[in-house]
Amino acid sequence: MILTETITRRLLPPPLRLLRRTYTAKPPPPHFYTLFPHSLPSGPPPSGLFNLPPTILKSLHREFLKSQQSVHPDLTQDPSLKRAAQNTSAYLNTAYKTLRDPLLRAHYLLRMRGVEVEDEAGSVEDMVLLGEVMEAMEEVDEIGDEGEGRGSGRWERAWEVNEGRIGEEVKALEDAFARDELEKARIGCVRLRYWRNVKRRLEDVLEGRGRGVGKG
Amino acid sequence: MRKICLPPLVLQKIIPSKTTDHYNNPRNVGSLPKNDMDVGTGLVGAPACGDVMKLQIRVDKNTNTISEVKFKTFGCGSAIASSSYLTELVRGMSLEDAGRIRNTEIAKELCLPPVKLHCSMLAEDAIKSAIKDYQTKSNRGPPTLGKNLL
Repeated sequence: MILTETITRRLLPPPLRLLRRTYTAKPPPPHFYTLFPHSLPSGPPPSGLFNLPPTILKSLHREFLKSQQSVHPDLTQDPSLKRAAQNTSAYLNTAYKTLRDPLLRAHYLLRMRGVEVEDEAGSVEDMVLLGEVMEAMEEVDEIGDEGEGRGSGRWERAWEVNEGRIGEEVKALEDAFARDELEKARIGCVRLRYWRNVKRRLEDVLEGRGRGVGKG
Repeated sequence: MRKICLPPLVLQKIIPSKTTDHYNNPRNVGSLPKNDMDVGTGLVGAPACGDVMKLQIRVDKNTNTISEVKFKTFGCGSAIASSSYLTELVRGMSLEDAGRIRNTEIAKELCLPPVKLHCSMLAEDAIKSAIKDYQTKSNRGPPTLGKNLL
């Protein structure tokens, strides 16, 4: 028993030894932030910053790729190890994708604190917000209806206005997390989600226009 | 290398046809002049999807029934289908009956899966708030309000 273990330990390349030791015993999944100690040394807010500037995002990406390399499922033939590696790899993917995006990051941070943003039964109380969103969406549709060529200046303006809104909401989230005001952060998530939807619709309009030009 | 995609036809077979029909050909899309005294507007949103739904009704004062109804929904297919179906349902209905519509009716008719139930709830909220808006706007002192004041 001891002998086989020593042999496998010797035969396996170092990262897989780590893998067997760390992941087959099914420990509780580690905190997303702790998976990237080099890029996110101070952890989640309020100790660390909520906003991740481009330099940190770059370093996060590098660290993510490095970790993925070390747990790549193709490094082993052993089926059980392979499965463990696949799980770890998928988990790393989720962690990276979550931390990379401000909205997903905010959702994750709130969920960790027991605050559910996507409450199915919940409804939006902020009528001013809903009115603004409706107006923005209607404007995007109008821009789309105007068709190709015309209205492209209007699209640019709408895009800029919306990017401004997104920037403001991300900043508000930063403040809320820095002060540990979770309810404020939850509301910020809902708002950000709406402006993201407007952004997606603007992108759809542009793509639709692009296709139209291609056809003609 | 070509990416293999699930053909839309297969998808259409999985999703119940009534939902796709209301999604592909939504009925009564548009707006009514919201400042008209006989128009009630309901504006609701769901944080779960980031959906926003506007439902407007024009009410015939004499019969107290809904004579015209329009909606605009920016959201997922189920939300669009729910509001489209609702507009067909409430046209010609009395305000009282329309206010009694339950989301389960909509969900059942459209065969919405459990994860999409909130879309039908949104539609229910929308008609309720449109009725409320009409009542506060047109009467400014309806019997119910008088009772509340007493």
